[in-house]
Amino acid sequence: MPGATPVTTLTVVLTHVDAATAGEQLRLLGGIAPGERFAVCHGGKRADFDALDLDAKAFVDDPTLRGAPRSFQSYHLTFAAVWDHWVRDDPSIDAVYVIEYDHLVLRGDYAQRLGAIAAQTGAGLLGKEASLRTGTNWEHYGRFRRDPALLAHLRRVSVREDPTLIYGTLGDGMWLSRAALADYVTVENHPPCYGELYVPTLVHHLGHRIVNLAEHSNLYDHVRWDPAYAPAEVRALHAAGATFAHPVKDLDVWREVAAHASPGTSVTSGDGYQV
Amino acid sequence: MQRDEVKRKVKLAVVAVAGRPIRCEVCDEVMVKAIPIIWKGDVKLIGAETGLVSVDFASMNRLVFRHVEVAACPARRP
Ligand SMILES: [Zn+2]
Repeated sequence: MPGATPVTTLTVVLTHVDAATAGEQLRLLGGIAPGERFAVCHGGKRADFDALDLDAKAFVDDPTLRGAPRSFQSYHLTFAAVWDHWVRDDPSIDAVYVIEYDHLVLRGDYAQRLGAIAAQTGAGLLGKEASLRTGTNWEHYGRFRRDPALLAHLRRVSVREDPTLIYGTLGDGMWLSRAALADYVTVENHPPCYGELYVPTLVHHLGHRIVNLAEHSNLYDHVRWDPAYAPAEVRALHAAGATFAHPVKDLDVWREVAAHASPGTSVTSGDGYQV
Repeated sequence: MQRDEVKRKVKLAVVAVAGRPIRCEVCDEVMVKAIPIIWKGDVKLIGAETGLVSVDFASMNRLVFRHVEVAACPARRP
């Protein structure tokens, strides 16, 4: 990416899986993107966290993560842990990239690509279809559009002209600038809400720009909520030079991608895959 | 099968047959098929929940819709 300002990004993997799997996934990501910095926030069993053989790890005991899917999952404790453990005292970190444990990176230059879009757009938050959801039929907008606690909270903290605007994004693959994360963690007394709505909404009201990656790139063409990508699909995406695939549950295909890693360059077909 | 699941499937089957297409005002693609009814003071679009759409008034009596997701809207994809 000629001319792009290098951005130091900390990629944070949110996981709940056993120690052996979480450790191997981190090693594989490190092999695919050897120039990048990774850390783990573990929200599963304490014993799995304790057994995880990794320095850059934090335990996040957040009861909202154990609630019904797509209900009140929040990122407050995760973001606070990321800030306290790795970002606050390390001014070299410009951004954090928050991914789920089944978000497979396919290219070693992913962070520079994200950073370049953020620099070009002035983004505080980049996300999959991150956008204004006011006036839409998004189910979480319907749930919270008149929520008294959320609206009162936004009126208190918002620097915007209209404190009622609601944003949304996919939770997996949120990129936040250091400034946006710093502002987020200073906010106290978050109301009960749903993270895919609350994070971009709060970041907007704190004065940062929400940017939809789909308006600027094809980086997230293969990042989706479900269903999981099959190994053959992942091999084809990797061979075609795609940047990410999510969700990818099959660890064997993670190993294959890492074994064929070609950091920073597009991998062309004919590199040994049976596509 | 749960009662709610049966209701949902019946509703989708009715919408598939009797629903009218709702198009994106930007790209003109059909986003969902829906059956509009006025019920307890609200306008309900039965079937609209199968897509992610935004809505706005284009005149005093005309609602227009568009894709929320850029990736789903050919006219807005980069
Ligand atoms: Zn459209």
